[in-house]
Amino acid sequence: MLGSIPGSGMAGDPAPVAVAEAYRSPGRQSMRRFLAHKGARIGLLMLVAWLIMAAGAPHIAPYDPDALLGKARLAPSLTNWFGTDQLGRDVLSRVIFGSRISLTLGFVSVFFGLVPGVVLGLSAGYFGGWTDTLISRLIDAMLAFPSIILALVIIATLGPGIVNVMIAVGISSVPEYARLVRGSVLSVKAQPYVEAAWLVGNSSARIMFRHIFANINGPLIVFTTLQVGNAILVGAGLSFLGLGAQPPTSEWGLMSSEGRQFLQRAWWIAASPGLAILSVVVAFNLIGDGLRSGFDPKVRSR
Amino acid sequence: MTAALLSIRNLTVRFHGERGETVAVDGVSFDLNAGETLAIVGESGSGKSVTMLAVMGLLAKAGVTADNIFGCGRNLLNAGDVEMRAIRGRQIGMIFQDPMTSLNPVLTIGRQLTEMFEIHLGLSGAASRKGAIDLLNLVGVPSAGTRLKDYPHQFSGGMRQRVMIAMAVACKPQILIADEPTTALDVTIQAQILEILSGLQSEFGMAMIMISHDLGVVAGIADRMLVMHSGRIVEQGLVDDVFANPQMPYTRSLLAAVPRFDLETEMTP
Amino acid sequence: MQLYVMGRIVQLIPVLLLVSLIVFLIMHALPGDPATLMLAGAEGGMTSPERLAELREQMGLNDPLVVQYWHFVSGAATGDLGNSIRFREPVLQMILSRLDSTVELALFGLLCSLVIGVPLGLLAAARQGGWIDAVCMSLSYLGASIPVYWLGLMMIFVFAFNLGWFPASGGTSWNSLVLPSLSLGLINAGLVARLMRSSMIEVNGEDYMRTGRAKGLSPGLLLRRHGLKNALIPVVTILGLQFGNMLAGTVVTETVFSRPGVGRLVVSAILSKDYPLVQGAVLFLATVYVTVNLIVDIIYAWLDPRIRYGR
Repeated sequence: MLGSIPGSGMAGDPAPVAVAEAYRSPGRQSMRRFLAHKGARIGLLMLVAWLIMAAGAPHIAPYDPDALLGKARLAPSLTNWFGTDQLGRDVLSRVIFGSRISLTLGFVSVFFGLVPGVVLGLSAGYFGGWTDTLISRLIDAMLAFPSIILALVIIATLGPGIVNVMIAVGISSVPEYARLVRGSVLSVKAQPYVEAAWLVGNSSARIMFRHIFANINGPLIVFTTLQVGNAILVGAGLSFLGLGAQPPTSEWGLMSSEGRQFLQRAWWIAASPGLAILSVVVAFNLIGDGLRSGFDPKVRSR
Repeated sequence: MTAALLSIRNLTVRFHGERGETVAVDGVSFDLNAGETLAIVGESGSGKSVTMLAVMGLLAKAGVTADNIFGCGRNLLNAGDVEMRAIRGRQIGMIFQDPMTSLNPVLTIGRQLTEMFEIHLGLSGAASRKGAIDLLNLVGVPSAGTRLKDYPHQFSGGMRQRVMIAMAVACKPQILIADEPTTALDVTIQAQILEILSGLQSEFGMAMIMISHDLGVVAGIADRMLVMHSGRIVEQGLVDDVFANPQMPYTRSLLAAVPRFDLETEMTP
Repeated sequence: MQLYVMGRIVQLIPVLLLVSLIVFLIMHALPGDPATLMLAGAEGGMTSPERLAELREQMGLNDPLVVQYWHFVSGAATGDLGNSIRFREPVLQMILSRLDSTVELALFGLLCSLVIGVPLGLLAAARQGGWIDAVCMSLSYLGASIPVYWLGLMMIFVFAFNLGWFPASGGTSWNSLVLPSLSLGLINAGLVARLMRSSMIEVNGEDYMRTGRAKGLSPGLLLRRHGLKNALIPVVTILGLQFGNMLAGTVVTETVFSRPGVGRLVVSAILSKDYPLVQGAVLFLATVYVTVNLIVDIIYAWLDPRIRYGR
């Protein structure tokens, strides 16, 4: 214990030194730990590949996704790598174009969850009192729905359609965002230095928001990354049920649903889009776990 | 020469960590005679506890080497798993430092006591229940009969340590190892626990190894003492001799540190 | 213990009220008139004003929202969830007649996830870094990333069409339950395994496990009597969540395997814009979910005496 605070007049409080140490370059350190994560590198590579595929779909896809090539239900071959579907469209081209919808769905729906969720969580944690009680009860009640059920209720009202699916999936993640942010705000509020600043009335809001931001950054980014993958999964499931994208869209869930009737003789119609979803969602999960270990070194040793 | 109850020759324990190999115990040799109390003192990290865990066979075998570990009439160094299990708890009982975490939180005290009779003595049902009640009475847990149904979190720290002691001596072992049994307890409770330990020792005729960094505890209870420092024994002898005439500088500094347990002297470096 | 259970049941009431309010508000306050939408969907878009007015009256849409909500909640409390527009049958009856199949599927799915996940997690904990550990990790990634419907389809393709071991769809016999519950279970088994693994590793490092070893317990007995119960506590806490996942999963799985259940009923009700049916079924599912979570909390308290006695 002796001499642990060289030249410091603030005896018995090593916290400021430690905090300064930790925040020297948190971004760069996290980045390094993230890239040291093997899974994260693989995930990042897969995601970049999919982004390129989505952006350059018209150039990359061998055929027009909606063109009828004549022969229906052709087995995978050198000319049609993933075969053709029940109408004779090239499955590979449709899978490539489908990535546009699924990736958009992932990002857009996360936006619909993140923004209201963060606002609700911040207000609950910051204002406390009856605001907190009200919002917390609302969060609890929303969490009383199994995730997909809440999305179903919203779609029931808005009507089927891919945009509505994005909104529904997004809103159904609001309570989880709100809970995450609220918890983080409360933990920051309980820090002695914030409490002290609060009592003195010393621009408490600014101090708080700075610390809240530093505190919540990591968990929020990790959760959002995982949530993009999850939204893609749920969205495809809803389209599979006929509640999302409508024919003739090249959407992965819808394609599997259409291929279902031909499963016995043309398995590739239903199978191919599923593999695409699998690889995209695995990519987000790998990146999410990599980020988690990047932000929290303790996790890595597990 | 009368054979010692426990005889250790050149015990070495190595741990393989992320930063290479560390030697926790470095060539330790000592004997424990029947009926005596041997204290092992030293600061934390000096290898006291690790030595005892090695004797109990509770460390990974690969890291433990010795010329000889002989105890309770057996060669403990080469004993198989089954043989070691029959010795642990039956021939050698052990008490740990923190009674708060050393008892299983989801099993009743009764269950944790009776299983000693069950696995080592083949008793069950009413017989083991009676044994458990007798044990709790012995270590001074009031209304033992009803408390068997209670869970550890319903006991105070001192009471939990009494239960730990009851468990360790359940099968009347020849050797009782107490690893800092009073460190985590209030000062007032410490004296009671030590009293129980020495009472049980004379009643059952056990030899006891008391690990401690508290020389006050050692002076009160032990016959002989070993002083350990960075994995080695730096001094040993009768407690009175060591206290009166410490040979090694490290022992002298340990003894010199004793009066500084009150706050004011500790503040001055 | 009884006091604890009573307390938890009382806490349930406000949550359920809020749940009903959320369902009600989403169904009524969002843009879009249910009656119009329903006519557009169910009756081919021929929206005559008379039919619309009639329907609005029938659905009570002309009453103030508060009155409508009161009708909904007081009805729900007495088991009256209204009538399906399309089938003209009481909603509750329709749900109850399909409930067996759904609960069966969710429970067997849960069972599959535990039967696969728990031993796998224990083995992975015992052999950290070994191949079982790798399987456990991969399964948890795949489970979190595979669409349930797709796994179901692939299982039908392999085990029903090609191997012919189980029926592809429908049916009421036990073997028609195997593929759906296995696909639900596999999706969640990885999560269970991963949790079991980390929990077991943590428990193995606890002081009381060292005490158990020092007492001379055999590794098997130590694991069974001292380790498992402690390690299962975190797994039990997510059982409620898991059951929710299963319930949500049945919505998709019942469609894939053409099982007549509540999940499929909800989907078809949404597609046919049968609002009372959607509203009632969703409220019902949420109630089941909340109740199951309550039961899980009680099991948790039973496992962990520290909670049972209020710490």
